[in-house]
Amino acid sequence: MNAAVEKFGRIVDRQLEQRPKLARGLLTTAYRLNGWAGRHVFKKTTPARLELASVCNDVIIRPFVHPQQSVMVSLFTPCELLQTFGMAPMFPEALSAYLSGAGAERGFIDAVEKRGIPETFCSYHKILLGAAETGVLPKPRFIFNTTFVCDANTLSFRRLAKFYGVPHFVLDVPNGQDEAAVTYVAEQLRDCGAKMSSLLGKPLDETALRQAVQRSGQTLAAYQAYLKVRAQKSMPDEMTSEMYAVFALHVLLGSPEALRFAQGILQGAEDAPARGKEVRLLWVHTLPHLDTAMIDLLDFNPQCQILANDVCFDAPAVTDFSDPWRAMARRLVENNLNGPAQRRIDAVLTKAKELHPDGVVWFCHWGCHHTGGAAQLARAQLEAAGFPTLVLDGDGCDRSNCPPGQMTTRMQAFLELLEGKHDSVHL
Amino acid sequence: MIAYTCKYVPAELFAGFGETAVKLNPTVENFEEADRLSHRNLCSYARALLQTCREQHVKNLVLTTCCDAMRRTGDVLAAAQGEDAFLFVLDLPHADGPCARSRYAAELHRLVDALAAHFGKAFDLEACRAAFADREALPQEPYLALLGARSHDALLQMLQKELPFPVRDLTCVGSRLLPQPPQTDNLNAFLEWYAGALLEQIPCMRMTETAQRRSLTEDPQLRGILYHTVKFCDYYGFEYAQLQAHARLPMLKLETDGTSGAEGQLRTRVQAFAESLPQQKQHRAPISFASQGRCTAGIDSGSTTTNVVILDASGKIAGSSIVPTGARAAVSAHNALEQALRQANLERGQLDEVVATGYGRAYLGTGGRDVTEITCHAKGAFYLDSSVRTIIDIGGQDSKAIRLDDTGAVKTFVMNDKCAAGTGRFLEMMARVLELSMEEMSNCGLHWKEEISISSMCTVFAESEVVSLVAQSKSTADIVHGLNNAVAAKAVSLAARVNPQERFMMTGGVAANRGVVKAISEKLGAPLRVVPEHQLCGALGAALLALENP
Repeated sequence: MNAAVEKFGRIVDRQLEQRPKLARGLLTTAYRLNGWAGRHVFKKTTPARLELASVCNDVIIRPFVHPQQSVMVSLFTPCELLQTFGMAPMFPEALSAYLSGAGAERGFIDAVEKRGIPETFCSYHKILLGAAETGVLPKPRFIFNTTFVCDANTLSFRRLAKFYGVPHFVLDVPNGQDEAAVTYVAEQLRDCGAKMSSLLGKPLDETALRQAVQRSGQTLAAYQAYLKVRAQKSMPDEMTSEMYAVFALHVLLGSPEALRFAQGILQGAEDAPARGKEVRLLWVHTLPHLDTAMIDLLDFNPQCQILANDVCFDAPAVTDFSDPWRAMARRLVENNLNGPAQRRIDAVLTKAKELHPDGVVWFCHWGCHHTGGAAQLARAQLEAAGFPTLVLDGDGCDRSNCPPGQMTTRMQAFLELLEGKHDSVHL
Repeated sequence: MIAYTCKYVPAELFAGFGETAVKLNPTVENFEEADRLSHRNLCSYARALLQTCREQHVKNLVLTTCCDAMRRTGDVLAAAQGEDAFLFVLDLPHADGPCARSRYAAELHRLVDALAAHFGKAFDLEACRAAFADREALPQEPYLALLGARSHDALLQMLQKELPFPVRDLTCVGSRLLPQPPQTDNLNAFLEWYAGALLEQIPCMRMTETAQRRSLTEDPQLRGILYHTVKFCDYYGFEYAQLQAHARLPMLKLETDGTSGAEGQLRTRVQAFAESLPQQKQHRAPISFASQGRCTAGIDSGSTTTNVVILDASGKIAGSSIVPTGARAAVSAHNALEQALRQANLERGQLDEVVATGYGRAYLGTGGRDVTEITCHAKGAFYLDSSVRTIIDIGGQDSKAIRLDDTGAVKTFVMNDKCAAGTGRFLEMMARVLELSMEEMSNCGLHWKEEISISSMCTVFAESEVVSLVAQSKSTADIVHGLNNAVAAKAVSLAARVNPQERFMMTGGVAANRGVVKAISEKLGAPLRVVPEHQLCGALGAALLALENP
């Protein structure tokens, strides 16, 4: 880690117990500077990705500064509903990635482990809990989450609703992909909408909701179109870009900014040079974008590029917006990550056949049973289809779960093998 | 025979096909097959289930989508089992409203159809209804509750044996209670009722609404809670954290990993808990040294050293010894006792009572009682300083935090898990990497200049981290300071779980390390007392118990 960032993280750490508001102030200032630098100094990536990075930076700052206009959500929560009420989302994956980016994750993790939260729990959620319970993250207006994909959602948000004493809305998403499941979720969404309207004292504007849901569909369609073009192009980028894209294609979905991003990268891909001899990877799940050695391997490396992340092409591009509630519900129920692991594996296989990667990295984020549990099943099928696959253990936001050297050595060895164009790789 | 694993599975339904329902609570020797098929960070219950299903060729299994690990176990088994196997995964709702009940009723119907197709039989509703057991009446006698995640059968048996009250299994799968079914011949109506009855049970932690779980801890006959968690199962860690903050009853956390190993450590915790229960305390007699007129010994057989304390008739330390624990704990204990007797100028026959403690306590063959090191450390520390309320004990292979009440009795305690992180063994291994003696390491960490974070507490990975820091030419003092901070963070995190209060005392071998003591004290924000007898504290407590309770 950069020495200055490490020092900053330590300064924040020291304030957590006694002066959480000071820690909040330090972080907010740092993110403001980061936003400014992103716009004016770094400028390494494409204009669409730069603009999205700036939007994400603002998303992070807002709950710190205007908590009463913020809603804590899980990554897969349909946030079009919040947009119609003028509320901003904040979610564990972004918050934790930013806090670890500031070198400050350890103090938050220690704070909740001291309170008895298991160390085996997902580190994104541990950092969120730590930020809340130390008083660094102020009380949101309410909490709105799904039970979708990840058990951590049920635990963290329930605990935080009690901790903050705020209203809590939960969407129970079934595992099955039938029409009854869509109806079940749609009815819950309607009910949540009515309750939010009453809580906020604002009428629900269904026309605005329909427009937002329609924008979501256009965004997802534009992203799918981008991937088709991307398959033929060379576009070295930074690892963090893929994380920003995850945010745009989930929590920010429905916003004009997300649509601009998807259309922008499609344009960027069309203008990019044709693919060369670089090693091309298809990535599954989150990315360890805080690991310096991994960044050295993958950031802006013309010889090695990440084509896509499966969490960016998980949602179906729903085209029927006549009933926005059902459209949002369908997006959840029919998401590739919902239901048996085979659905996700099939989706990765389909995309691999479209993108032609040299290899697939199945990244097992610490504590994610959902992804880790399916890793060997996926590897067997991907390799049988001719895609060498690396099952890589690590952590998206907690350095202490990325054993020094081990993760990068495996990654580097995988890349060396792919460069040698071996038929099959077993690591 | 149809196996199942979750209390929301309609186990009575299997009787409608002439099949018996068997609850699977396995322990395994290893996870070889499970890890080959899945991932080692899957919850260890799920890994044990996978391993067992593969080893024992479990043919018929009904699971629910109760957690991420179980969903993936279902996926992996579906791919691995042969075509003649019956594997069914019920989609369990998180909610318990009318819509959720209808959805679950439809799932039960899907199961009936699948079973009928698999066994080639029609469903016998009457046989199913007959399989419902009468609802168990609540006990009218004091009992202990085993709460939390599913426990394996061996654990329950051990608890029943070691504890002074009956233990009720109220874990997620143990607390399965359904009412008698209604008199109806209509399958749909029956399944609607059945789905409702299943979802109406005391909720498991994965349900959206869990307020009803309070009834588990509010029974007036409840005397204490054994809280069981499974490695990498996060649901119940959350409830434990909540209960711990508001516990009005004695509570002990137990974590198992699906294997039969570490039984000794679990038993130590359970015995210490039994020693701390109110019923046990009533039998305590106050120490009155003047009236005793006897000599006693305490032997603490630890993983690294065996320590002995001999008390004379006035309750003063007449002799003591610390010897390395060799390959045979009993031989080390004998040698240590002989050494202490020589110092006290006594013969073995002059000892009225010997109490053993520590890991080897049950195997020393002293002929005396054995008491857990938790009770003994508390006893010894309180004797040395009656203002002590929190003890941090870091020994060779484990660490503990013990909270005392105003009388010196154990109020609550926690121990580290099986891993060596934060123990004396961790420091020993790091000292070896840095080519330092333990004495040099103790001093070295006090003279640091640059703050270094050691992020990994796993002994193996921390070793590579230290090697990497050495390669970066970081100073030894700075690295040792980083290690001291890492151990201190672990110890303070452990202490935080017992609601720590001043005054603090540190016992165990690591208390000799001044750098660690300083780091812990800084992190606690309070002074940490270290007495010269820090390593003898357990043996002293054992000798005091011998004196107190002949």
